[in-house]
Amino acid sequence: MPSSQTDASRPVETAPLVETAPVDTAPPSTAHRLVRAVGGKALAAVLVVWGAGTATFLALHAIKGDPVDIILGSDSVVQPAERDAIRSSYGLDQPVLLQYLSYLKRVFTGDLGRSYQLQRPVADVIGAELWPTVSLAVPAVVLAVVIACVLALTTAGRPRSRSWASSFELLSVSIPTFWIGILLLWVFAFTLGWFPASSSKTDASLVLPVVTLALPVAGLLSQVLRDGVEDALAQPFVLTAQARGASRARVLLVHAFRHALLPATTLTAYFVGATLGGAVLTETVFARPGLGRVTLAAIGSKDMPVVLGIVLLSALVFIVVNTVLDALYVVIDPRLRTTSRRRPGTAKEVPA
Amino acid sequence: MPVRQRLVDIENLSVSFPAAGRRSAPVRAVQDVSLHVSSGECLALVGESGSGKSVTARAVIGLAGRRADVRMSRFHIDGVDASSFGEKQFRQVRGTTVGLVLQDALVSLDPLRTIGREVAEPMAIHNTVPRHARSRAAVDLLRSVGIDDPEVRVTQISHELSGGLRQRALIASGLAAGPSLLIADEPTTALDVTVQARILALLGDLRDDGTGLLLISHDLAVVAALADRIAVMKDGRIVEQGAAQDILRDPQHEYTRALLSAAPSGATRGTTLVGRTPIAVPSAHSGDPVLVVDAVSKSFDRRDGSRHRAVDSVSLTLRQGEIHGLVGESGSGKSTLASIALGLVEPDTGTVRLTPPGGPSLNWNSPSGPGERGRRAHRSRIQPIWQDPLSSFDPRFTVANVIDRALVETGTLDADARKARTIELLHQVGLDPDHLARTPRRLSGGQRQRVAIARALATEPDILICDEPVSALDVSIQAQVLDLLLDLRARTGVSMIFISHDLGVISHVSDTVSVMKDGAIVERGRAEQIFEDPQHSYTVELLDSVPSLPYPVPVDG
Amino acid sequence: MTDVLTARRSVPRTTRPGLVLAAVFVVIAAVAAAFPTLLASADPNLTDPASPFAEPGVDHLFGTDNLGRDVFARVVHGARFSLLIGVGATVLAVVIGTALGIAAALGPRVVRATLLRGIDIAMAFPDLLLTLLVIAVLGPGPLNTLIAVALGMVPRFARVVRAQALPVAGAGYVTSAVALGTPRLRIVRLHILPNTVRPLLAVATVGVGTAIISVAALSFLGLGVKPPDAEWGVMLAQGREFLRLAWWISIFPGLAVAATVVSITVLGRALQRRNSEV
Repeated sequence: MPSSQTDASRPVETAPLVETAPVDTAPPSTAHRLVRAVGGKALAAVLVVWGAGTATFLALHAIKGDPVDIILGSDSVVQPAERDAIRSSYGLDQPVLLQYLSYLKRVFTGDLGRSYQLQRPVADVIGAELWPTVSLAVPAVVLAVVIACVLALTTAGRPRSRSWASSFELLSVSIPTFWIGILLLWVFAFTLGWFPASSSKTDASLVLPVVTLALPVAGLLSQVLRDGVEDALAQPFVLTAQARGASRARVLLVHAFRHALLPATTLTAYFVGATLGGAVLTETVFARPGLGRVTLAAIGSKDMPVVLGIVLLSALVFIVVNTVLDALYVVIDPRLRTTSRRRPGTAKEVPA
Repeated sequence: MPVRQRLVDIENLSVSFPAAGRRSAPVRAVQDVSLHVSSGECLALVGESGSGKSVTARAVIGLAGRRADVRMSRFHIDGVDASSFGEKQFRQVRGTTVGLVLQDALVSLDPLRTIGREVAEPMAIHNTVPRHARSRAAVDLLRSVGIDDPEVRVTQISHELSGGLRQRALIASGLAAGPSLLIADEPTTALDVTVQARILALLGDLRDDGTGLLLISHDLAVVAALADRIAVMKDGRIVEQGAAQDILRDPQHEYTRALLSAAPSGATRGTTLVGRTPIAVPSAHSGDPVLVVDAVSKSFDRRDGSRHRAVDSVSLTLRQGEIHGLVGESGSGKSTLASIALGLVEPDTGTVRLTPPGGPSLNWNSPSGPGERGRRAHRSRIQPIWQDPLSSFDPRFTVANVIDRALVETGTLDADARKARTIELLHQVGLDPDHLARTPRRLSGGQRQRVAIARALATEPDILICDEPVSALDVSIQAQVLDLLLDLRARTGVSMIFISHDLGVISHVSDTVSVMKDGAIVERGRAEQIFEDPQHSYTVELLDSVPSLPYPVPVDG
Repeated sequence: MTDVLTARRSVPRTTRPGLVLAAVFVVIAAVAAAFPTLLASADPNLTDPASPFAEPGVDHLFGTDNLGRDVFARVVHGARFSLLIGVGATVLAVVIGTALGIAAALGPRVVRATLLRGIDIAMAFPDLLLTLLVIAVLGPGPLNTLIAVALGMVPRFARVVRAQALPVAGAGYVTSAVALGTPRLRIVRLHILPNTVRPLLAVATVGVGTAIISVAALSFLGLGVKPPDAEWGVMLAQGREFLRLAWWISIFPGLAVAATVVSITVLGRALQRRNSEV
């Protein structure tokens, strides 16, 4: 008969919180782990900014032609002395390595320099056009998230509605944003006249561009969320929940959804980037002001300081979004509070 | 016997699933099953995989699956006619009248939610306890299933509890809304044997307190201690049902007899498990050492930065023609030791020496050691057999490719000779040439393991390192594979290190045994000695925890 | 621009007629790219000042644009740019991405760490931005567009290849091959490469869809293929100006892009499903 207790009362299970095995070193304290985690993130952020700066610097120097010509515009005729003055004011007369280092220094201190084309500080150029893009991108992300959640939750595990949803997702991801924008413009603005065709001060003019921007992201996000929900639904803990009498709604919302958020959260940084990229296209389609036209003008005229500014801005957005996501991750997945890495494996990670 | 209320009473249950592809037929998972469980009694439903036992259990609470076609002639849950229950009515019954406990609480409890929330969920769903009182009710519930320090546990997540505590929490969550019947589907399968014993004791206490218990298991020994009645299932049907002691002492159906006799143990030493024919067991050894492990240690870095000593100064000698059993629970370090013995992982300290028969001993694996280049030439002498053979096969390879690869790498035969040898090897492991063109994915678990054994034999090894080779197999298949391995040893004299957590298997096959705990060998000796007269307290505890059949197994033929 | 490269584990099943339709369309697009005159007899660049903005009808299937050019002919001839540049860019990206991805999974530790960091940094930026950066350096034009689109896709491919190669490198069958004494290089050749690369074909096919969209997008922005070439994105940009008057100038090219990408994606996903079910 199985019995490993000499005590006559009900055997009580006591076990330490972690695996009992002789350890050579004690686990690092919570403070230590926190420092490592924060330090790791800070390093990653620095590397991203460094990468952005270096890439732009290389691009700048890879361009054929004299930057001074860009600054002056192609038509001007100018004395060599003036040229040299401009050259040295932009620091273009120094050896490449020195330029790189002073470039990096400026990048990290946030001094973005002056636009070649517009003769204004880059920060001003970008700052002026920031708000229109933000007022487009943020509602688009929100709309995309809402559509994706609703679609994923209502179709998970239901084969027939799932195939409709999949078709929608396929289309939204395969049809170019700018064509959707044109289509919507044509149908709703020109033909039906429901919304204004060009950007005006009214909120109504935001509707079409926001929808255009949101659709592709909604499609992909919904796909990922639904996969995540269906993965979760196949797990044993869902059967346990059902065996307790849980309804489908409860199983989805209380259990499955949280699990599905994990892979979706990983992709969110990508989505924000995609939205920024899509914004450039959408603003062009709908003739709206914003970072789109700044970027295009800068690229077209090889105005590298502005391009650098845009690249750094996108890096900044990425870093901010990632930091928020990392924090969100720990909230969603309590398993992360007991280990210091981002994604733990199973409980027993050490081979026996 | 007092008349007891039947908690579940079902007659002629059948469950089928629609066909998988266009060419296959609908799957009849359960056919014509009748059973009943009363309060204060335990009915054990025993069968191997594919027997339909889990589907039956789930059908009782209407969770057989969306596509299942469930029919029965009579179905009562606690006196209420449930034969036309819809999802809504089943939901009212789930948790309140009938509770379900699955195996492996790590994935059976929501890993993202606290234990407290999980345990209290039935209370929340059925509103049996008002919200403000739920936390305390959860704590009391955890305490009642034997969890020490429940106030702390309630705020933890399943990941932070040990296997035994998790299973207790899972049982608690099944009981939270006060069901009169508890269905436990393989509740101890994922647990170490010492923990298993305690969980079974807990379930026994629940039964003694009046809860009805429907216990599902593949292991007759596990249910032997707990069951009042036993029903044996095969291929969706109940082949034999009756009082536990009747079934165990005097089984009528041949399948039950086969199931009982296929279980390996100390009593089956020296015979095959399938039809008890004697098999040669080498007598007391004077064989030369073929593998010597000398004071080997290995540590790994944990995710949180601390170091975990997986193997702690282990020494071991394997002699020619001997089967050395290595037994230990999870976390004991046996798999790491196997990898070191195979030369796949380098130890931090110590050496492993390999002695080919009639040759000098080689430095096989050590920190300063020969490295992979030095080992490569001798690799054919020592081959592995893993628990999960499927992951050891390249998914693109057929059976023929798998064995051919081994022959090419370690031999000098030409293509035709290899083909012939492949067929020969398949014969040796009991497979016929039809299997050559199949991919291992299309084979059963037992067949895959045979292919793995054939591949290992292709190199004509002196030593086999078997890491839980039969743990993933059903009892009857396990018996066949064990017979095969013993037969191979008898014919070729190959030596083996046989790793398992299953003491029955170890006592059946091993000549010498080493017991591992926390990376170190706590006891070692000849098999009969260890099992009859264990010295170390851990070995004693281990042996005490093993569930055993109470009656001698009737031997056929 | 949305990424169609994310490898899905469970890919939706397309019906048989859907697959056939997709395949047919891809064939049509390929024919249009290779032999445009088979499908459209009119000259795509022939301006006809007498009949601008003609509505779609018998004479001009898709109408004419502001310069009187036949839109149908332009759409058919435009297939060449999108398909050639799209496929070319994808092939280039796959080659570079595979090399980087395998190095990032299997190379010496320093290489692995550097590449991983590099890929992560590159993924921090929207791919449109990366592509634009390359165009900024190289200038517009078809060849530069191909390079720019390819480089924009490299980080994503490299990451997918690395993600594919890592579990393969640690797989049980690799361990078994080691236990048999197989030399390292042979293991890479026999086991690692085939198992890593095979699923890539499906992902790459879906990637062609993304590339085609990228090409059209760049041209739409005026930074890729330039007018008067009859590239779909160029036509969309031109047609945008006249949307109120003559919807057909931008709607039809856009339809062509959409149909091509959807068909290729559908086929790519069918390939993915076949791979994962093998």
